[in-house]
Amino acid sequence: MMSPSNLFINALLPLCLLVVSFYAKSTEFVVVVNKSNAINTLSKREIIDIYMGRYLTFPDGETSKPLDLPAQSTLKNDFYLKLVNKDEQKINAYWARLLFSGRAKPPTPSTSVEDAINKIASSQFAIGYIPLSQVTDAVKVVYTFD
Amino acid sequence: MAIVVSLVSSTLSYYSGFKEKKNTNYLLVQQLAQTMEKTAAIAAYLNDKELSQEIINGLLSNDLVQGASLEGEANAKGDMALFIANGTINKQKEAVLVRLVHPFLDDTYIGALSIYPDDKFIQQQAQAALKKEFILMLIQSIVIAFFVSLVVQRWLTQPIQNLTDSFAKINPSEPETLKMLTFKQGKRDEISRLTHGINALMNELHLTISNEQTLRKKTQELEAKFRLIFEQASAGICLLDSKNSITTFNPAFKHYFTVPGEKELPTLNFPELLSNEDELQSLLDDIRSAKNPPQTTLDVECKVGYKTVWFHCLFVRLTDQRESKRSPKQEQLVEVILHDVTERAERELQTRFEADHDPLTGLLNRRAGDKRLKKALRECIKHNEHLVLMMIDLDKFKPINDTYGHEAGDKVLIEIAHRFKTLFHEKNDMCIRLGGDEFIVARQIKTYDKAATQQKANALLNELKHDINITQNKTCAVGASIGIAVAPNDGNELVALMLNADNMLYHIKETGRGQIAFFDEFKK
Repeated sequence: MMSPSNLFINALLPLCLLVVSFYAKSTEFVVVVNKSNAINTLSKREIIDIYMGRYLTFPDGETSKPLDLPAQSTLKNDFYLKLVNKDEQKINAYWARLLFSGRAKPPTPSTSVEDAINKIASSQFAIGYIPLSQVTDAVKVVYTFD
Repeated sequence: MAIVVSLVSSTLSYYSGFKEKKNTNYLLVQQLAQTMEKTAAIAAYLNDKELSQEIINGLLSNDLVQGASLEGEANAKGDMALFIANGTINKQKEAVLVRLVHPFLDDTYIGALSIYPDDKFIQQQAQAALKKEFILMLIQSIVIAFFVSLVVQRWLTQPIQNLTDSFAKINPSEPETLKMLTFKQGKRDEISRLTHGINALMNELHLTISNEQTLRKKTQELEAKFRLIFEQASAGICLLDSKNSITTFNPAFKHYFTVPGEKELPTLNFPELLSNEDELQSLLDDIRSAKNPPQTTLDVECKVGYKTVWFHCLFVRLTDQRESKRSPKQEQLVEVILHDVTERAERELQTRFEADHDPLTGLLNRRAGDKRLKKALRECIKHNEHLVLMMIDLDKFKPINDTYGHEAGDKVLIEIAHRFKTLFHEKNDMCIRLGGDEFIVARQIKTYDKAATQQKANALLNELKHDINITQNKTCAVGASIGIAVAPNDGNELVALMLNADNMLYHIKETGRGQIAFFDEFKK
């Protein structure tokens, strides 16, 4: 008879490893907003405009407050790679360039995916990105990466 | 000249340099635009006016930039989200336009950055650069021109000047100055060769001219001699052309034929100048024909004014030695050399006269009479004419000679001869003294009339009977007997005729003196 630990080791670990390695390779992100937000879907372009500081509002004119995942995290790096095909360092350089002039400001950082979900859930104007696997009912998905 | 060239080339290089400079500056501006492209794209993307302003200001701080503008793409609603401009931006054409690509989406343009280059600044820069270049070039040109002219002066102008100077010393009319031009030996440049050539030419020329002068001197001497001969000759010399006109004559010739008081020859036609025109004309024609000897002589009588002059003429056919091609038909010239031989001719005439005439009476002497009678007889027979021959012998002449002396006798003879000549003075009459007191008077007549002859003979007889003055107060008289024979009736030989007449004379003397006897009567 196989013990549960054995089961885990024998059956789930490889599966988990597989899943983890899959995640590591390409995390599937979704962009989410507060449930009360009128926006139901956003285009990739609209997401870029919001995240790269072009617009400080949603397309319907409501103020937007984008959230970033923790700096130097694989998730943040992956997200930006997917969004604008640039890694985090380049994104940082972009914002550094705008630091002394201009009104654009980088998204507000969050400490974790959970933190981000919480902030989005609590703020009407917030917008964030989280891995597809961690989507909760507290937020509304407005965009899913292919 | 150098300055003009450098000016032109500088101007050219200015324009090409200006263009080049402009292009360079455009490239610089373009690069500038490219440098700012990324930031500008971000600014346009973000519609960030402050950033845009900063970019524009940054660009304008560059000297090359006159103006710059940054504009965002018009959005769907049609209003331009962003337009930032500064400086002069009205020259759309010259602007360097960079379309700004969306910083995150490669295929989307989100705006344009326009930079307007500062032409004035570029121009000024180009001008400054070119001014420097021009001045450098000018200095270079001047220096080069100076050295080139120095070299030209040293190697070309100076030698040519020297050559010209020494050439100017030459006077072509004085062969002595045709000497060598000075030039530096051992050089092989063009001027030396030119000088060499000129020297060779002049040497040749000098020789030729010297020869020519020597020849001319000789010719002049010769000509002077010939002229002396021609002009000082005592003989008259003239040249006749084919029409017998005198073309050339010497002073002696002119002197011979010029009537005293006149200055020119009466005519230039030679035959007309002399008396016997026709004879001369035929003689000149003869001498011109090649088959006759080329020279001949003739004594010609001529009347110059009132004087009769005799000339001994030498006619020479001249053939021009040079084959002149000018006249196809060669002209036959005749040279005439004539001497005045009047004196000699007159002396000859005198001598002939003396030889033919009796010195005492001036009648023909026996020998000349003989000759003349023979001639007359021939002519009579030839022309069917008659010759009346009277043989005359004086009567009572010997006593006068004896009584009054020979001088008185001579006087009688002279008087008798005079009477003959008075009665028989026609052209065809002949009065001959045969010797002593014997005479012949003959007459050549066309038709013989005996009665007229007899009458004439009687008249003569009567004439002779008249007294003759011997001295101033002494006179005497002679008579005469005449024997007449008429040719050709009484003989066609002179000897026979004379003999017959002589016989008649004897017959008269035997029968009684002072008579006339015709031979034809005696025959009967």
